[in-house]
Amino acid sequence: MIVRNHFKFTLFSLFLLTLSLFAFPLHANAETTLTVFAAASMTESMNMIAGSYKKSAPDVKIVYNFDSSGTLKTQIEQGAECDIFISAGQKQMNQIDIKADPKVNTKKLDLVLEGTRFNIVSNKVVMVVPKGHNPKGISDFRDAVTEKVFIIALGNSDVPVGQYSEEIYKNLGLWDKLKSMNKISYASNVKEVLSQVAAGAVDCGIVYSTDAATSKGVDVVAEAPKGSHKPITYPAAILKKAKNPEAAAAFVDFLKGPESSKIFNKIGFAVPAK
Amino acid sequence: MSVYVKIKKSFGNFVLDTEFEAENEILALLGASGSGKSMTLKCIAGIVKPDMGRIVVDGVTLFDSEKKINLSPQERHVGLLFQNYALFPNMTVKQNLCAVIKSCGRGKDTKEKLDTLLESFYLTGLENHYPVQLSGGQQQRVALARMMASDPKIIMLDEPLSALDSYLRWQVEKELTEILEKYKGTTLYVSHNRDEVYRICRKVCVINDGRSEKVSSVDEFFNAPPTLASALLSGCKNYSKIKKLSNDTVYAVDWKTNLKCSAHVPGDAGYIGVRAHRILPLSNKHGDLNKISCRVLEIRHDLFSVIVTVVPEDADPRKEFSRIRMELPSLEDDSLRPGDSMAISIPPEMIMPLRNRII
Amino acid sequence: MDWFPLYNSLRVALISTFFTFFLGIFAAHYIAKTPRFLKGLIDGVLTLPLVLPPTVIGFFLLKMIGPLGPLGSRVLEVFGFKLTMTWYSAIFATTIISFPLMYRTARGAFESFDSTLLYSGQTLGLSDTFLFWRVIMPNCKQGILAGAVLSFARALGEFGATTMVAGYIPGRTAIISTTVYQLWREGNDALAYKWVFINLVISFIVLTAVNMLENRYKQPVGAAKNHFDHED
Repeated sequence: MIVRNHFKFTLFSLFLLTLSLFAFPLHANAETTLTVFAAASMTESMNMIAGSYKKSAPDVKIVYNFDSSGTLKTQIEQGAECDIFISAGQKQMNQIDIKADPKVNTKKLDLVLEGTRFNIVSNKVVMVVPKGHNPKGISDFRDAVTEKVFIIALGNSDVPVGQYSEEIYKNLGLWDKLKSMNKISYASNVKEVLSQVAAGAVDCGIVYSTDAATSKGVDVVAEAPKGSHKPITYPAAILKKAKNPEAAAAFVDFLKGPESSKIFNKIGFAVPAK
Repeated sequence: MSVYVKIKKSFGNFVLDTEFEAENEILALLGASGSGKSMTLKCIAGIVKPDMGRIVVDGVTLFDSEKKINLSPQERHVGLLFQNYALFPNMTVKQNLCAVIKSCGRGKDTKEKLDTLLESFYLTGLENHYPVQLSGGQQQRVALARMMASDPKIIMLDEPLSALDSYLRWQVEKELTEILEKYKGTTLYVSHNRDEVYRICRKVCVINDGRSEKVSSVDEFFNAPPTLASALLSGCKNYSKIKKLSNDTVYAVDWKTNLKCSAHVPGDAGYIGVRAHRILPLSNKHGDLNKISCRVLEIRHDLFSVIVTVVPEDADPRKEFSRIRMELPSLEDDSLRPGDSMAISIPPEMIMPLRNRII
Repeated sequence: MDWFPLYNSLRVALISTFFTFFLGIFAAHYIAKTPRFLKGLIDGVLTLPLVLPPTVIGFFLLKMIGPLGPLGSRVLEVFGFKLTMTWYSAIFATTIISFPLMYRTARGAFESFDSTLLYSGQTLGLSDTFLFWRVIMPNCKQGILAGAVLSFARALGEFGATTMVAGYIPGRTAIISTTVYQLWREGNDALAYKWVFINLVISFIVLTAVNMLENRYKQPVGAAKNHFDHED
């Protein structure tokens, strides 16, 4: 083939090269890959657990996707590859579990592998302020509606901790008042709430105790009043479309085991009794 | 108001090198397109800065590269009329004029000055028109009026008639000439049209390829142009390279013949030129001074004349200078055809010796 | 229905366009006077926000005007107010992002402007300031106006940098784009559609206004018109 036009030839080769990047898998298939979608608040603990698991199952590669539970659920719904889903709220798991209340699972999705759903950890809700910077002396959830707080960062209603924040304030009878004062800075996930507080962009924020524990930029000033919210249990499940259900089941067993419990407790989670 | 210009500016390959002076007269800067005439005006106006030289107008130094003087255009008080008139399209005639009147005066008798201008330039009734609504001639008058309103020490016109259709030109030229005659100062008139120059200007400075030649009077220029470039610009069509034989005889190389000249042939003359309408077909009336035997190449009938192109028998018809062009009022011999022989005669007083370069 | 996002979006876009208008024009005017080797560099810097992802710009802005940033902390100390998480924080973002649009359009307008008008004005003794405002600007009206509208439209549609520096605080910093995003996150499609429709209507009105203005200002510039000179 006589190449007449040098430019056209180069362009065509580039095109082929680009196509080939999508044609071939980037990794050898010698090891198994497990895809785990987990709520953002699980980041530190799940990473540590994966490191620990590598010692017992060296040929299993765990790939995480950390984000807000709502985003993860939407991605799963829209066909993303995933073996295990860990949500920071029952709502998101319910929305894809056919056994759940049809009022919550409005789209009648059946994505959860039967019998694999369990509560992996539970968490607490706390109020945080920028580290070493609490000039107004914020010390209570109820301070949000006073002049002690100009702006408070909350997760939006798609974020589990956001839903809990709303529940807490509703139970305190302060939700409508808080909204009317235009004080709420809505964040798309917990990490965003944390970074807004840590940067001092807001006066305080509401996050999980686990996040507060791992963040270097915030101080905890209050715990949610007793009974102001439903217990926060994190559901986990293997998905029906899991590519590696056996490997997934093995990992789930590890998650339920003593090594994982130690890590969870270190981070600040409580592990439900069996 | 006098003007003295001596400037040099280099633009890569092209070098502008002009020098001339004028005092209370209309001086033409005549040259082909791109020869640097407009650029010279821009330098005088202060829009372009020469690399070196001096520009003095009415005793005031506008530019001096050695003394590092370079006045801004606003400070120079010279008028420059652009080829496209440069009227502000977003302003009416009145606004165009008042803008200048106000900036020059204290604004006291603006109305009076405006009315005077409108009258002198035959613009009464057009004050509220926008330039786009005016004809070419009207636009030019507005531009002139506006220029005069700024009270310039000298005025410079850059090809003022080029933008007009030929049937308009005659009338506009007449008006322009009247206005220029009324103006007491120096006018620099840039053009590539020798006929305009002949009618409107008194002196001529030829600018050829960026270089200016010596200033001569219009008569001198047309009767006895000093150089080949001047002769070309003056409309002369016939040239031959020469070898000087004596003060009054030359050997025309391209025409392969000796010629006797009435004018003195200078030592550095490299060419001669003869105007097309000065060459005559040989006949009894004219004798056989400077006779050349030729062959007819082409006969063309123009509007009011006949153009016969011939080539001397011994010369090479492919060379441009070998061809001799004659403009006759009519053909005495109707049966003349290309290829026929024809003897011509060049009166000695019509031969113009030319130098190669500028003086 | 809470109309605050509409009010805030318009407020931010208008104020931002006001700044961009003057900054863009002056930058375009003065860049012509910079020496050649510097011109390319400055032009590149000024055009940068056009090609950078808005989130990158948002990131840099946060680092500068955030409460811990050099500018933000200084302002907090001296004047006592924060530069981020307020309604006017968005103005920083939108001004920077829409600036290149105004700058380049104005520059194009100035460059296609017939400079003989400027030169002739100078020889007539008119000051450079007069010439800029009374000759150059009116004759570049179309280009300048187009630039202003483009800037306004871009400011109105800004999301990435704005959401980072102003956040989403209903009633305080919410604008149409961040509101639609939050509504989508919450699954409130009905309200999201309402806002999308409102945004479409505004954009349509703006573009129609531009077309009308353009047609009004379409006059041929300058050259001599040759027809019979009846006045003579």
